[in-house]
Amino acid sequence: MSNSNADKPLTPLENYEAAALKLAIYNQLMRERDEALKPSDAETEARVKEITARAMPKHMALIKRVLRKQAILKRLRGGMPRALKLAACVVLILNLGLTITLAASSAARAYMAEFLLKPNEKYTEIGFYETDANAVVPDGWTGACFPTYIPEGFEVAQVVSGDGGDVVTYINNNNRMFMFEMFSMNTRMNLDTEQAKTSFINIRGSEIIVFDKEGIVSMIWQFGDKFIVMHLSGTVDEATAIAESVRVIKY
Amino acid sequence: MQFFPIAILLIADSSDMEFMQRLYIEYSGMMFKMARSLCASDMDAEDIVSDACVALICKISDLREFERNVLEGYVISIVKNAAYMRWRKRKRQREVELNDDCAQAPPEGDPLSASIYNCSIEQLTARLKTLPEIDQAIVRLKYFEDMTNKQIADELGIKEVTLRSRLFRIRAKLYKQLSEDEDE
Repeated sequence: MSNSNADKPLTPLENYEAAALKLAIYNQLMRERDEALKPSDAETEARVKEITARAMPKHMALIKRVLRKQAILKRLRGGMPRALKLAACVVLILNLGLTITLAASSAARAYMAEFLLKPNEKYTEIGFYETDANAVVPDGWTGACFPTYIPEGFEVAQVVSGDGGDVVTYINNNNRMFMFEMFSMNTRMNLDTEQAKTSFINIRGSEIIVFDKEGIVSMIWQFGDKFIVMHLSGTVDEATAIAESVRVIKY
Repeated sequence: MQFFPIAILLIADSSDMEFMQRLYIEYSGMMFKMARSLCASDMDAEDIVSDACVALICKISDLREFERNVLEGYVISIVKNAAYMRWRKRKRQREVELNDDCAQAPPEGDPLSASIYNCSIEQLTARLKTLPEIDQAIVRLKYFEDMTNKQIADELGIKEVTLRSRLFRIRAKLYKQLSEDEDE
């Protein structure tokens, strides 16, 4: 442990003082530690054990919470400009009653289905058929479909669901973000598209509008009586690959 | 209607989590014992340990570097600080205790004297122990936890100039006592 206090270089005597005081404090703390570790009477030991056992779950939860908060702050500090860009890009208004699920590792592998026409000799099968692809759907997601492809390294950061729809946010180590959102027909939203490059693509019969602005690609398309909005800090090709992988979840 | 919260959250680094959980499991008994000796109830001890856990997390990168015995000392120091901070908050003695005679610029010069050369670490330890708890806390934060004057002042909720003045007086008192020990 070096003395990092110095606003100006320390003189040798000041250095000696800092080291001597540190040693003396250390001495004192070690004595206190020995005192604390000394076995007490059985009653005290039992009481300490009892308090420790009682408080442990609470403190473990606290540790988890504080570490998570720190990780968020670290993330925000590191990735603020890009994140702000993305946040500024979208202003959504939803109905009340949202449920926010903080990211955890909990997710379920879901089987996906695809609408297919299977012509046979005498008849044609029509319906949703299970596909080989499956998706890791995060806990809390209630939407009817989900991408089966999420670029490598992206982790779920947050899931928000409510009457108005569902939103899942992913982030990767380079502070790139990906948001996949599914909204009901009652939801209105504004998207900042000023000076955005606009194009259209077609994926399995769905017309998708693509906005590319300052490194954020947004794609919007209709899905039954809902609409899907996707934002990716990345390229149009990457976003297209994700959009192509969206399949109906077979509940 | 409400604005949609666009948040960027991430799961905490699992290695930090593991480290903290291990540290807690290993030292919680010691922390509780220490905390219990510094307060009046089991509930207070729990709160002190909670505060200490948060403080330890803030220092996690330093903790990883410490040798075991230093780490133990550090944990004790953090528990003591947490107990002291809690006590101070409860007593609301902040203004009276710290700002009374110290809300002025530190005196000129430096109280540091050669007496520190001439005393043993044992003597210094003994003298430190005689200081009021608030002064011990300041010295600990400054010289053991390597906090800057600003960080200590923020922690104690006082002005930096007050802290410097207090520190000056603590050191002056300490070295005066050591000189007296020398004379004897």
